[in-house]
Amino acid sequence: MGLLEKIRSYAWLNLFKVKPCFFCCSVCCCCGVVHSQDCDQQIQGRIIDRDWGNPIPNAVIRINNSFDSTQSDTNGYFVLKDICKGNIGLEVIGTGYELVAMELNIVENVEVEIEMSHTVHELSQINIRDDLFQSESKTLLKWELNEKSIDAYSHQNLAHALSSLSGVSMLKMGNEITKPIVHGMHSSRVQIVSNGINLNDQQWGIDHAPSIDLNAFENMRLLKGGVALKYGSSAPGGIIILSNRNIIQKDSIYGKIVLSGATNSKSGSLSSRIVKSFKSGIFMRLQGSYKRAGDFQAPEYILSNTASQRHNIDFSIGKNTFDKKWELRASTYGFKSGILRAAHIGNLGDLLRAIKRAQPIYIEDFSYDIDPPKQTIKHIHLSGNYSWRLDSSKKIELRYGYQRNTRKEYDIRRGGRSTIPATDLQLTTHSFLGNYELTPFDNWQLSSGLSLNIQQNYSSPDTGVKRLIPDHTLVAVGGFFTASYSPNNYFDVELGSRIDYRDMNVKKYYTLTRWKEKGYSEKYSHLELFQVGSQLLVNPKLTFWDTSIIAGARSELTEDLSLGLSYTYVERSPNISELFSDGVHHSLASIEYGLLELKEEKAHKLILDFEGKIDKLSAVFSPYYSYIKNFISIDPTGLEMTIRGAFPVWEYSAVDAVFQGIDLDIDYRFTPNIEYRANFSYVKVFEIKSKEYLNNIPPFNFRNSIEVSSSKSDKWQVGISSEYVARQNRFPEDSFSVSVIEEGQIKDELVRLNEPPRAYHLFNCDFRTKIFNKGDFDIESTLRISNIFNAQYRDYLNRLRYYADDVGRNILLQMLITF
Amino acid sequence: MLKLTNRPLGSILPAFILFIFFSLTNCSKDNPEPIIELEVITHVDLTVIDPSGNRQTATWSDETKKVDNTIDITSGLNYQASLQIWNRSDPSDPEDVTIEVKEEVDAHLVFYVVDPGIDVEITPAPSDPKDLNGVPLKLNTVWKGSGSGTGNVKITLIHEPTNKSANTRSSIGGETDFEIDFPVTISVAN
Repeated sequence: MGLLEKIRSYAWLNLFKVKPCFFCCSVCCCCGVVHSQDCDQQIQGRIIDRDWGNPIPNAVIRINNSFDSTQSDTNGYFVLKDICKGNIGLEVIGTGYELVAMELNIVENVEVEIEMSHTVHELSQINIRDDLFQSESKTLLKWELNEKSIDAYSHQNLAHALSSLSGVSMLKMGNEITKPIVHGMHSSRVQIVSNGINLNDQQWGIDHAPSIDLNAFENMRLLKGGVALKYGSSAPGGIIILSNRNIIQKDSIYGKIVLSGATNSKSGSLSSRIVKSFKSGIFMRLQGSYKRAGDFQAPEYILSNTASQRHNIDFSIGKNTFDKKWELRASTYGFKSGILRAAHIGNLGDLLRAIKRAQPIYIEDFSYDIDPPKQTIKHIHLSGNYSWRLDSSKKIELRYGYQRNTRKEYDIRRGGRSTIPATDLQLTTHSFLGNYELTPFDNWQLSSGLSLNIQQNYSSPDTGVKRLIPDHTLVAVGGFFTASYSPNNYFDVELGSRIDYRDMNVKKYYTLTRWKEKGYSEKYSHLELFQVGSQLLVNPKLTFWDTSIIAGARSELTEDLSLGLSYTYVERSPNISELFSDGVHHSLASIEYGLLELKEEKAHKLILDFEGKIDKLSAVFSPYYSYIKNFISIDPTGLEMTIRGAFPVWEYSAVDAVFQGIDLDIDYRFTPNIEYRANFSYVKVFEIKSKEYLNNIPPFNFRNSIEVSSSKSDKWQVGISSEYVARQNRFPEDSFSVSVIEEGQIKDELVRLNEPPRAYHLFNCDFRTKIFNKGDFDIESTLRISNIFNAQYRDYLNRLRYYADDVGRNILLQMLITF
Repeated sequence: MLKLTNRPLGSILPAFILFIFFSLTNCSKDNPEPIIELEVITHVDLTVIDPSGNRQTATWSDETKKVDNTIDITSGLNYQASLQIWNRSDPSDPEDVTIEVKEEVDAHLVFYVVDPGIDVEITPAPSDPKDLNGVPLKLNTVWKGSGSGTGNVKITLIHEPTNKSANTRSSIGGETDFEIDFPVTISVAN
């Protein structure tokens, strides 16, 4: 009881630190307290985040019509003493949560668990929440995409959903193979965490989209430029955390169905989820989705061979109680997509001719067929986790994940070989994570843990094409420690560090000429195993020590202004592709080579964010600066003469680079029903010595929208939005000369590989309405038109921009059924 | 209230450890097999035979990355030219890719571009394979030079051309399987 007493007195002391505005929210339940002689009962309990299951500290628990109130401690526990028997009204108020009002009939001492839901602060349909007890980061702004927003993107994918945020763009290979670029970085610099396990798929190239279906998750959070040490430290770009809500301990069954159909690509999708929970805490969750799309259409022509298919099945079973939790989950994801037929080319001359053509050379009738060039991806993910609380201040969490990612890429080949994949990779990963959370003193939270990752890549020799990624085994052992201190509601500080040891054992065939040409034969002769024909088997064993440090502080200066500052230092060891990649990319007529000698990338990043509110205007302003030593980038280094003619050679190398940028989000509420939102992102990236710009950096973009809703906000909503993407004026001048014979003359023409397309401006609108409602059964429909004016444009971040326009107008009709 | 009362994972754990063990040992393969590249073109021979049966051969080789010989043509004579395409990735087992190209005559076309400095007329030979529409593949051709000079004949093997009857590289479409400049000298008969 000593501890509880302490909590209570502490709570009294802190009561007035809670924002006064929340007191205004008090709703009187008017359940008069029945006075009697028995006023020695007590209510003991805990306040839990409904979505995340984490305890909510500093929530105020009040009894209506009385002055009795207390506050939850750092672990969400509270106790109210000297309660009289009878009916009482209880009210719980927490920063960032919806007010909870409940009625209790007190006959004896009771124990309650109170769940609170997040208040929705919508900014660009994204909720910004600095959740108090999230272990990922206490000081960095988290951008959240709630279930509603995820449903809206049910027909699209992860990158589409994220790219509605400031500071996020999309790197594309067509419209279906897309990946997010956060603060100018992508691929292995942006980490994705799915239900507590790092997604280990093949993130090597631009044409490798994350193997994940957004529909399998109820919530998505993004830390822009942030690091969550618990999950690893190798992603200076940011971390995307996908998860499901915690299941409530009661007998219930609920679910939803999302049906979508779109005119452009004549596509349809179905996504469904059903959850059954029991009072015992046992639950089962089943999710499935399927999508089929045909060829996309640019304003003037069909983008032939851009059809795709996607499916996902996700099943989990578990138990979620007050003290312990376990969950077993199995999911399988499949994706198949054609690649624009006109983008399969033979050499630099073909590329030049493609760039000069106003229209792609292959335009066929619309079809759902997926022909080579194409890729098929399968991702199997099995995971289990178990966590329990040792006592009110200690928690242990164990996780294991098994992932198998299979990637097959098919090219157009001679001799009927188009049915044999040209790239056939299988990546198998076992991940173990143990995490220990401790609250040694009030206001302090410590977290530490260990992780082990074992990864194996197998590249099938049956392709008849040189391996792009060699066979390898990667063992990574990591340990981390974070500490955060929150003396009051207005101030948080955190500090943490992580060390990872990575051991990479690679077996790769080099061509003898390449091995000698790079001077490897002299420096690394001890790695040579044996020679087969003109190939040499080499066995590099590489080890890396990666250290990361985070330090951050966040303070609410006034009720309407908060300020966050975070510094991260991240070391990222080069990935297998950067070290060993070796092959031809037909979509860019390029030969790509890794560099065996790459060292760790060392990134220092400083992020500042101001979150402010003046009257009807609220804004988040967030500048950042990052200095990266040994930034690994791939750039064209010259032309290689091959039997096919000239090919630009792209080689990985390390440069020292600076990333600096600004994200700005604005939200202006004219009236409670009319809201204007805008976001701007700007990032500038250059190499320090040469001042040369790097490629694939998002150009300045500006999105804004206005939304009008019915006075009963859930009845209907109409919105218009626009997206302006400027021309990227900062790009490296990588150009090559090709000699062509035209009208009897030999001419030299330049192929400008990074020449950006002109700026574009797209307009979209949407209309959402509730069409049926009875109890928990709800039908909502949405009509969304994107690129209303069927604008013709090409996007700098789309690798297929050389060959064809981007997609034209699309009308999407969506039905959301919840029950 | 805070103690572990049951261990739901307890019964699964041994099976789980076995699973990990097997999946790890399964994957630890020995040395990867070397890949014999299936459809690479490593060598292209251009053979030119004059009316009296004298044979000249110029070869592009992937090892040297160049053509080893200049073809000499006497102006006014008809030469029988033919291409042999090879995959010698495995030197002990050279593969004649010409056969494959002939089999897929519908999906291929050889395209010739003569440097503006020289004048060679290249026409399909009677023995040249034709596709379903009767369009010759131009693997076997007849060359007839006029005047004198030195320059290149750029020979391109195009895969899946979109328009075989077009006369510029751009409008033929398709992708380039090989593109080689063969040096040619034309001299006036003496």
